[in-house]
Amino acid sequence: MITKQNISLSDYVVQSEGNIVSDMGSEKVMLSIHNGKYYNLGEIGGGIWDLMKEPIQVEKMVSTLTSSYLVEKQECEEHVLSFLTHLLEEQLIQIASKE
Amino acid sequence: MKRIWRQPILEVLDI
Repeated sequence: MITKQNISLSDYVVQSEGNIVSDMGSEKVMLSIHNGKYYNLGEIGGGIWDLMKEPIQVEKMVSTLTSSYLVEKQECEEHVLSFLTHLLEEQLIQIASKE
Repeated sequence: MKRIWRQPILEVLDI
């Protein structure tokens, strides 16, 4: 795994191990056993989380999301990169080596 | 039918 803190569209991302995840209504909540923090990923964030069960390229993730949601590609890219950066800062995901 | 997009936010809960 790579430990850089910037994510680009060409990167592959994957869930980190050691998180307890539960669906609460339409949203997804999570407990990190590493830092003891609870998180709410929300509905769309939960969907993004599910896409990262296996390493996935960010560009592919955006493509999947734009086919399911009413959002322009550029806006989706900005939102997803911001969200993933936050997940990475909290060590909830990792940047994977190219699969 | 495409769903409505909302910016995904990671909310840290202060339990």
